[in-house]
Amino acid sequence: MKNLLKAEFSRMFRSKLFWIFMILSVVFCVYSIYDDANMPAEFRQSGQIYGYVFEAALYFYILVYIFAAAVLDSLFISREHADGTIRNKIISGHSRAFVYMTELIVCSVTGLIMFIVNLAIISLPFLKFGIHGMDGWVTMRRIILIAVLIIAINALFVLFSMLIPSRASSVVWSIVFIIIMLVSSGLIQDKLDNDSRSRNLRESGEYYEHSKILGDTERKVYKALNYILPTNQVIHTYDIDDFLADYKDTSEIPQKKLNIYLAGLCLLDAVTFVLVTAAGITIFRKKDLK
Amino acid sequence: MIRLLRTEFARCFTGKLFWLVVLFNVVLASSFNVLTYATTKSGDFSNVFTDKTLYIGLISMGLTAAVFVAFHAGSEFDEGTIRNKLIAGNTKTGIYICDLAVCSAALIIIQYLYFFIAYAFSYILFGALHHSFSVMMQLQLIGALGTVAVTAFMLMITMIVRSRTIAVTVCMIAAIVFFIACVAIINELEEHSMELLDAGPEIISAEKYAVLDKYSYVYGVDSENLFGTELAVKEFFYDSLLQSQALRFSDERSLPYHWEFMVIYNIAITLVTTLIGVVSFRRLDLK
Repeated sequence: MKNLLKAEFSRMFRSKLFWIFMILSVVFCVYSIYDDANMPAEFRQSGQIYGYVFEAALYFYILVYIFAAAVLDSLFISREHADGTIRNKIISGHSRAFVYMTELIVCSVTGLIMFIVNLAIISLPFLKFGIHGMDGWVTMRRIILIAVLIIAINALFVLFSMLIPSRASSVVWSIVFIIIMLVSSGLIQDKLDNDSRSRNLRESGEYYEHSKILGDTERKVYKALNYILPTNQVIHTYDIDDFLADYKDTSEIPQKKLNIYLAGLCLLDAVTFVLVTAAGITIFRKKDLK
Repeated sequence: MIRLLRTEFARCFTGKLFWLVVLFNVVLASSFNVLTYATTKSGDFSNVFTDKTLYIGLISMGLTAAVFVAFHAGSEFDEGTIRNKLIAGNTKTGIYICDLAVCSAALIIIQYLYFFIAYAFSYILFGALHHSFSVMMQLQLIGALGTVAVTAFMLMITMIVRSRTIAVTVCMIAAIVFFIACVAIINELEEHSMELLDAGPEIISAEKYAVLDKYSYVYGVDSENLFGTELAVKEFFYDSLLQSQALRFSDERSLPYHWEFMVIYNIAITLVTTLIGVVSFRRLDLK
């Protein structure tokens, strides 16, 4: 498997696709910093404002990355189907599970490398502004969650790419899947926000729309999906502490407890990763390679 | 060319691609209303208006067109069909126009199919809608011109790129970027019009203020944050992007303000992109 990994990493880092995406992601990060750095002076509060720019840049990075990963993984892996390389690897003695895991490791590590490079770029202005005004714990939790999400999301796209031999179809299904996931996440979040708002209005005796209040079972189901679905977690990387604390007052919750909640979330993502990968390997083992 | 058209229409309507896209749109058209029905309490049906779901087909037409055009026209390059058509005596311009006609017709059929299915489900499950049927049909007609414009744009990309995989990737990314751009532009122009409303007679004449008050937007008036070329460009995209048009259709109860410009821009985009596409296709070598 070591030889296979070396060969795949070499193929990834020599491919034009990887360098195009790397350059585009660097340009995107530089633009995010430049765009916010050109804010009118009345919105700036010395170095503190860069903390918000940094948070926004991280949030937009992961939002854009999920689309980039859909395209990159699909084009990178499905080329092997088109060239017959996967069949050759199996003929030369590698098991299907090893072939699958190699692709998964290469795509995930590539995603992490791109994230680290872009994190370094958006952190550069801190050398000028300093890091006062930044909450180190929140930033650390955000970075860890994004890194875990990159791995979980790559597991989903590797599943599609390994099972769909056509390059074009693989790209289409991956992008359509992520759009459906994002729209579903938006609708789930909308339901929960309306429910919370209506309950608050009801408690304060003001007019509220009864139809927007969810039943107990309904609310539990939506909340569970809100935590489990990777795209919901992507949306909540921006208000991560509120999300982890279930929108209670975070000033009353110790950092250690928030870290434990984060560990729980990462565990959920790990379970998603394991289930998706196991399903992918099982189906790939039975797939007829033409 | 008539024989080529007949063959292309037959290929389109007997192929899996068209029926898969139709199936996807049928599921999409029905699912929003069915999900709303399933999650609404029984006493609240009369308060539910699902007009917005009627235009989701148009909002998603960018992605639908990207997939359909890239697979339908892009496959011809991969399979060598275009070379065969040229050998059989057809011109490059004729092949291009045929592809445009077939893709436009197929996507307009899909657009109207989505609309009628969504309308049927809305009416059966929830009853009345805000828009009158005649207004909806006029909006769909403007939307059909927008569909042709989007199809022409995607076909231009596909014929320049000459590969199904790259075409579908570039076209889908373009559709997503246009959608994000149109949401950002709509939000920015809404803030711009709020700023004008608050500023009142200081920066806007009484006549234009009356237009702003009636339609919630007035064109060509600079504000402190948005002015000059930037404002003009954003107003152009506000009227010309199909997703922007569709979002405005779903928000308003009558024909949107500046609808004539939408029609003109749709026709202009179709003509310009077709011209660029034909000229590029004629000059490029077939691989």
